[in-house]
Amino acid sequence: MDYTPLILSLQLAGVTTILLLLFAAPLAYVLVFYPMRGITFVESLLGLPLVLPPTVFGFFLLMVMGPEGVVGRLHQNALGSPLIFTFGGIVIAAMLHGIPYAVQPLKGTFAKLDRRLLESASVLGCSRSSAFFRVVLPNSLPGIASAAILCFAHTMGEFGVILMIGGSIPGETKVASIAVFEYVEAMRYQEAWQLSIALLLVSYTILLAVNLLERKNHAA
Amino acid sequence: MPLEARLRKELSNFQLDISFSCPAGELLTLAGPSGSGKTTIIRILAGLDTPDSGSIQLASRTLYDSRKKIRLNTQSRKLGYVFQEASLFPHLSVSQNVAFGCKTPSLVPALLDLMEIPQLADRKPARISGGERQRAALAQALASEPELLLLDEPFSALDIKTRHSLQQKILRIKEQLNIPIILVTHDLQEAAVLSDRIVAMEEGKRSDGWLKRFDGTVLPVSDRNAADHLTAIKQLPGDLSSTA
Repeated sequence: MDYTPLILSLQLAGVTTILLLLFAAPLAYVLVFYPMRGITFVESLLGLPLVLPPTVFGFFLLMVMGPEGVVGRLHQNALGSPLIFTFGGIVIAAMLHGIPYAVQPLKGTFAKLDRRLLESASVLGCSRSSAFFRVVLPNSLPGIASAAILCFAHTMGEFGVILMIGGSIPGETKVASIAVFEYVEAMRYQEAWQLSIALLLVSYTILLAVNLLERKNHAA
Repeated sequence: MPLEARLRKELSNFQLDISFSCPAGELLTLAGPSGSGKTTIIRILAGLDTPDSGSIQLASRTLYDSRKKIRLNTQSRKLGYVFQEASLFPHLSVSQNVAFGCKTPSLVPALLDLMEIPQLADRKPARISGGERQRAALAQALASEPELLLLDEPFSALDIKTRHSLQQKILRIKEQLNIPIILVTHDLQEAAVLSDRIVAMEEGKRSDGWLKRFDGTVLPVSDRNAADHLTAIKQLPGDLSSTA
């Protein structure tokens, strides 16, 4: 049994989760505390991955990140290699597809914060960015952990978008969900079973962690 | 370092339209019933709300001027602000809270001593009482070495003994710091004990009517004869807030 796809899935989920949180946390902070004009349009755009079929979302990304797309051409010119069919490419795709899974729970967490804490920080000379690091983040750790686990779980199950952007290159873009699909297509059910059970266990552990964290939050 | 404020703001039920001044080393109380615009004024002074027009001058610094289009952001105003319910940072200990906006670390233990809470330095806010939290909040406000101190009904949720103790602290602080202090309260007794000047207000404007209701006499309320009305209020019996 080849566990490389499962390891690749774990690596993809880990890298994507870290990068996504670094991007989504300040974004959610701005959306909650400093909403600008036209914010509804931005929020609707960010929520698209929730409603678009992953293959359609992946198709749009392919058009942008492919060799003829704006981003793909820029990448090719800068680094001399294509962006699609690479691990980096699927990380970007998984990040973009996972934005609402990070932003929504973070927004919920930040919205629960007592706004007077931010006002107090501001009165004490704290800038908005400083207040984010010194007040918002330390008081949102359980919510951030929940968001991280959800992002990780969502990326572990990512299929359509990865298939469109990464294809199925062993050791590079062939993640567990794609490997299972290929095993089933080839009627290699034993391998499909083994990998699926491994994915099931990982996913269950993750959901268990989310639920335990949420219970802890409610108790606090 | 006097404070001069002239503020106008359209609120949902009435128009806030008021001007007042407070010299350095004095405590001015904005007194009035709930919903009269007191907290809005103090939030405007802090830069947490914006008036429709007017100006706020603190010594040589213009904090706000609608005509000159000047609006200094909150963090640049050099304020101390004690909220009605102490908003200490829950993830920090009392001493870390006091040190939050402090640029002179040696001030922290001195302020904890002044507030008589050095034994609470390592405790988190959730593990101390309401009165202790307000002491810590006052220490936190002073640690940032403010040029203007704003107190928004800081003692209203405290028992009488704790309230009196903190009022004494405020009087000591007023003597030691040469900065204007603005207190918001609906408790005339508290105003009488602490204030050099009282601005009584109702529905966003100066009003003697609110004071009149307590004993049927219009107390002289203006910046010019503060001493007279303080004397008058101090002669009133008991805790007047209970009759409000």
